[in-house]
Amino acid sequence: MNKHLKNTALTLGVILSYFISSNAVFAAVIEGEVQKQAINYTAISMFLVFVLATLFITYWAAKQTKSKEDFYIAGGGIKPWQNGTAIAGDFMSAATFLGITAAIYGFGFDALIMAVGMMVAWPIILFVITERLRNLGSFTFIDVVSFRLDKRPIRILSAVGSLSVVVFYLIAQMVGAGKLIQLLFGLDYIYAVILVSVLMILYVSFGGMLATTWVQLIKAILLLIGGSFIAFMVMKNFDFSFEAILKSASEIHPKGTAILGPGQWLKDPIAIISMGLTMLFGVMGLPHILMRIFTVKDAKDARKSVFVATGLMGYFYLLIVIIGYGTIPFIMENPDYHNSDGSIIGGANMVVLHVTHFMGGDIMFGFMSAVAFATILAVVAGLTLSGATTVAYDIYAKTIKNGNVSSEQEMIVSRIATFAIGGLAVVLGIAFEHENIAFVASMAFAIAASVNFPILLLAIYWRGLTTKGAIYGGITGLILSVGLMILGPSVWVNALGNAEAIFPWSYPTFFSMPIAFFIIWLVSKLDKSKQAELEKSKFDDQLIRSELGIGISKAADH
Amino acid sequence: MSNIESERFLNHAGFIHYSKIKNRVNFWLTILLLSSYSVYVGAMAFAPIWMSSPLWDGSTITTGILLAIILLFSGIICSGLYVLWANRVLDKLKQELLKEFGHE
Repeated sequence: MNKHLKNTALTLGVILSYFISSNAVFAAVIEGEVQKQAINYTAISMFLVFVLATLFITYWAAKQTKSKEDFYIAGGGIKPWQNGTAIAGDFMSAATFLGITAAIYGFGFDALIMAVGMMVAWPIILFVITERLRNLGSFTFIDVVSFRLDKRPIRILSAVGSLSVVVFYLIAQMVGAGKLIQLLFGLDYIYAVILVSVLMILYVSFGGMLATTWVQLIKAILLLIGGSFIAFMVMKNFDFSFEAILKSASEIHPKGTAILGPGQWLKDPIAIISMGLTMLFGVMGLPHILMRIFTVKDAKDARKSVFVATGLMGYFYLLIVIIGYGTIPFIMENPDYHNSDGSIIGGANMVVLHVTHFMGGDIMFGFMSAVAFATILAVVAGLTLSGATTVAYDIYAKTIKNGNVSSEQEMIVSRIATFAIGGLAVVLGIAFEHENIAFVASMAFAIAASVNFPILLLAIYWRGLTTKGAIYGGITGLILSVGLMILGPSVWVNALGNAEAIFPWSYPTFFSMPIAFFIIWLVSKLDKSKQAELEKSKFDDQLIRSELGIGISKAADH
Repeated sequence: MSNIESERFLNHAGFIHYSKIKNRVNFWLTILLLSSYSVYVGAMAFAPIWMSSPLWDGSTITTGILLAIILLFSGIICSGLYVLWANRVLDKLKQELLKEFGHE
C-alpha cells in the first residue's frame, strides 16, 4: 500500500468508527481533523442565493401561518408530492451523500447495506405505521400513543424520548455542519454553528412547518439534479456500462475485486446483523419524520406521500451506488485531489465533491457544496420544529395546562421553544466540537428504536397494552439504551479512558429494543387494575378509527 | 363515537372483511420485504463467498451487488403496488362502509 492510500485508510478509519457505532447515514458527519480551506467564492455566492430564496419563502409562509395548526403541520394542507419530496429530503442528508459515497470509496460493497436498509424500512413504515398514525393523531406521534392510555404519564415519557432523540440528533448535525462549512466555505467553526442556528430559527419561528417543508423540498430537488448530473457524467465516461465502472474501480482500488463483495468493513456476523437491524428500526421512531405524516389532509394522502418519498429515495440511492463506485477511477490516483502527504484534500468525505469538480468544474463544485450545506440547514429546521411542537403542544398545552390554552398562547410558547432549542444547539454544538459525534448520533437512534418505536407499535396494534406496561417498558428502554452505550466501547473506553469496555458492543439497540418490548408485554400482562381494563376496552374505538379514519383530526378544529 | 356504534362496526361483515384484507396484505408485504432483507443481511454475514461470486464468468457484477439493486427496486415496486391497490380497492370498500354508517 503506498503512502497516500495509508492516509486515506486512516481517515476512513475515523469515519468507520462512526458508521459502525451508529446509524450514521442520517447524521451529517464529518469526522476527524478538518483543516479550514481557502474561501470558496462560487460556493458562497450560490449558497447566498439559496438562503435568499428560502428567506423569501419563509416570509411568504409567515403570512399564512396564523394558527397553531398552521405552525405545527402547515394546516394539514401540504400536497402528497410536496410532503413526499420533503420526507425523501430528510433522508438525502449530507451524510448519505458524502458519507455513503466515501464509505463505498473506501470499502466497496459493505457500505451498500445503509442504502438497502433504509429502502426496506420505508415500505414497511408505509404498510405498518403511516395510515394508522395519520388516522389516530393530530400533530405528533405522542397523540397516538396516548390515545387510550393515561395521558399524563405517557405524554411525559414520550416527550422525554422524543426530545432526547431531537437533541442528540441536533448536536450531531450541528457539529457536522460546523466542520462541513469550515471545509467548503472556509468559515470559522463557531461562526458556522451560529449561522446555521440563526437561519434555522428564522425558518421555523416565522414560517413553521410550511417554510420547513419548502426548504427541505427545494434542497431535495437541487440534490437530485446535482446527483443525476454526476451519475450521468460518470456513466457517460464508461459508455453507460455499470459493469465497466466496477471493472475500472476494482482494477484501481488497492483491495481489488474484494470491493465487489462483503467483508471489507463489517468484519463479523454480529456487526453485520446489528447494522442491518439498526438501519431498519432506527427510522421508525424518529419524531421529526413521523410528524411529517400529519402535514397532509388524510390517510390516503399520507400513503401517497410515503410512496413519492420511497420512489425518490430509491432513485437517489441508485445514483449513490453509481457515484460511489464511480469516484474510485477518477479520484483515487488523481494527484489534483490529494495533499502533498497523499491524503485526500479536505478528508475522505470529500470524494463525491471532488468527483463533482472533476466532472463539472468550479461552478458545479460550488453548486454541490452549497447544496450540501443547504441539506444540513433543512434537516436541523425539521428537528427544531419537531422539538418545539413537543414542548408547546405535548408538554405545555396538553400536560401542564390540560388542554385549557388558547391557540395564541401555544404559538408563543412554541416560538420561545424554537429560540431555546436554537440557542441550545449553538451551546451544545460548541461544547461537542471535539467529541465523537458518532456516539451522539447513535444515542439518538438507540433511543428512538428502544423507547418510541416499541410503544408506538404496540399502542397501535396490541389491545393488551396498558399505561403501566408502556411506562415500565419505555423507562427500561431508555435506561438500557443510554446505560449500555455509556458502558460500551464508545464512552467507557474512548471518552472515559478505561482499558476495557464493560459492555463489549457499540450498539445497545440489539439488546435494549427487544428487552423494552418484553417488559412492556410482561407488565401489561400482569396489570390487573381497573384502569388497565378500561384502556383495553377503548381499543375497539381506536381500531375502528385507525382503520377508517372516523373522527380524524382536521386542520380547523380542536 | 359511542360504544353502541363501535359494536355495530365490529360485528359488521363489511368492516370485518375490509379490516381483514387490509391487514393481510400489509402483513404479507411486510413479511416479503423483511425476509428478502434478511436473506441479504444473512448472506453478507454467513455466505460472503457466494455474495462475492460474479454473475457469470468474467463479470464484475457480483451476486451481492445484484441483490442490493433488486432490493432497492423492490422497495419502490412493493410500495407502488400497495398504493395502487389501496387507492382502487381499499378506498372503495371504505367509502361504502362509511356511507352505510352515515359518516360521509
